[in-house]
Amino acid sequence: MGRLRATLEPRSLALLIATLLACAPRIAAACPSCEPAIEARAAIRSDPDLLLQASVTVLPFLLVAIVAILLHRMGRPRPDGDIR
Amino acid sequence: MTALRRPHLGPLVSAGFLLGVGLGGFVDGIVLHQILQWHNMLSSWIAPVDLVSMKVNMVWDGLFHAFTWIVTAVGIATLWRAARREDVPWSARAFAGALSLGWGAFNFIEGVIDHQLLGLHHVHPGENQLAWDIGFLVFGLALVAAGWALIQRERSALTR
Repeated sequence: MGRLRATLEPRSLALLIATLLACAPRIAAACPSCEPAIEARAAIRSDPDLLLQASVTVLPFLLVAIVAILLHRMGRPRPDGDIR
Repeated sequence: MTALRRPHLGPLVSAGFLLGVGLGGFVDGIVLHQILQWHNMLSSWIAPVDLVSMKVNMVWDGLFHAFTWIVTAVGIATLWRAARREDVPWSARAFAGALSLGWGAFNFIEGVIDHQLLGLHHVHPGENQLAWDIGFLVFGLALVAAGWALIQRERSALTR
């Protein structure tokens, strides 16, 4: 209850409103509807190497995932009691 | 009555490894891509010479960060599960080693594939580009060696 009351304090409310305003898309500097952003999205969509670029971006993560699986099994006791 | 199980470091090491990959990936993305702006994900394929090409690179940087985030989240889940197992020793030395191993392994794998084999980008393009790339790989291997040594010390202590 005390925690709930703390979140409704004017200071907390002001911080929340300021955060929401700062995140409002209208004043965002990135401007998703501006010409460079539209051109960039179109360039990515029409790039014939899109799948290749996505694959090579993902590839190192796939390899580390395989290593993580191998490490997870490291030292797992065998049924006969030995430790690998 | 439950039977005593032999200690199994694997789950703790794999959790630390994934978190090391994630934290190392974020260091790369935040420091080298964003703060220093030495390179972007595809900056050797699509040179960021204007706002549009920069934005295209930002999308691929975002994808890189998204996968880094996923690996980190999986690492946290793996650590959570490991913490609940009685047969997994809660070892700071093994965990620190695994963090170092993960960071170094990711640097090495990403460096070999993206820098050396595919030339997607280079650590610091331009003069001495190869030296920067090799330095990145050597740094990764040093982290791997240090991490592996810590894990092996813990394993020996456990099997003694």
